[in-house]
Amino acid sequence: MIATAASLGFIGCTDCGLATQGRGRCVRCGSALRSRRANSIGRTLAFLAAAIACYVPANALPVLVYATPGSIEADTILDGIVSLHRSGSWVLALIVLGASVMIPIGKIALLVWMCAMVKLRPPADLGQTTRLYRMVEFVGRWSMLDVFVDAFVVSLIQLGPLMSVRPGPGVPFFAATAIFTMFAARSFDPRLLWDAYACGGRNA
Amino acid sequence: MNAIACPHCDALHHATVIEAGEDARCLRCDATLPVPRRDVAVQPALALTATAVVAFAVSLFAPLMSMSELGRATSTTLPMSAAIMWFEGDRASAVVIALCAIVAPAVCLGLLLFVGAGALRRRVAPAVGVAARWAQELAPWAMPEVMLLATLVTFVKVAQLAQASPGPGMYMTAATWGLMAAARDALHLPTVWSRIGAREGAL
Repeated sequence: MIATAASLGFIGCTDCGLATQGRGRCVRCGSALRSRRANSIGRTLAFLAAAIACYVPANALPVLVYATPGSIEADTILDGIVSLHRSGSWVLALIVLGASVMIPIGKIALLVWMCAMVKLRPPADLGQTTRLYRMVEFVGRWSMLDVFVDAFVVSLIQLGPLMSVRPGPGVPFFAATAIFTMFAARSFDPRLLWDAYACGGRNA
Repeated sequence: MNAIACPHCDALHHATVIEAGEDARCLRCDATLPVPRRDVAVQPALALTATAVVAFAVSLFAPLMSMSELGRATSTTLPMSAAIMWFEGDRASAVVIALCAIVAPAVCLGLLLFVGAGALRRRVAPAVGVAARWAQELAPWAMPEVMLLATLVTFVKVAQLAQASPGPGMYMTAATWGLMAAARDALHLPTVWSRIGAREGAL
């Protein structure tokens, strides 16, 4: 059994790692010292709810509106992926599908599952779960991919009367989904998983 | 003797010192532990950071890519794409793009320069430690690699409509990504933290 900082009355700084008995702020990096992140599960679930609320319009609403004389075409993210695939770049189509569609929903599902494990029962393989958490934290920013793509396309195709592209209403929802899932991952405290294991899932 | 708590599982470890290229891992959950390196060459790290600043500055002004159709040519830069989103009415996305593409990397690089300059002295001031924490917290919001992939996807999308060619801004964004990562690794923030308030001659 490995001793934890909390079991010995220490608080570990989540930024620089220093374990101290001090309160307030870390003497080395100024981070607010908390044995466990305040209201971690509640905050994580709140950010996840916000992310889900934004994920639906992000995928349902158009992100790019192409206007040529005589026609207007509104593309959702899935339309964009299909046309990328049609143009022969199925690798990029897969990457966009992964970053924009799969990563947000995967992150949300995994974090909900981790919150449930803290509250309900100790997870079976904690090492694996903590690794999953690190992955969730790491891949989050890639969901911003489509926001940049849309901005670049809009700013590039400004050919006046021949063709113009405007950002669709889905773009800000995409940005919001990415930001909310990043905040959710940051709010979740993986140390709670290990606590739940140590006391048989009866803490909450 | 300092003790290090794993940021992901709270397991306590004796603080040790690692060599360059080594990693300290948590015994229980395999997280990378923030332990100091025996030797950090601060001056080369500072030079890398300065180079990253230059690459980033150029990437803001150099066109990312350009396209031409029927004799008309357009090109775009990072700040321009944020500005155009703003004027096209999508102000929320414009702000997010400006924050992630311009503000976060700029602030992050500025903080790294400050940390590097502070680490030149044997006794590192507490303000430097705070700056190092902010540099670490802001790092995920500076996403040059995501923008680089976005330019590639844009390139393919636009090539369906007109002739497109990559611009120097694309290469400079790639350079910013590599140099920023290298600078952060060379400065090695845990080493900076370990030297806060260290007396003359101490580690």
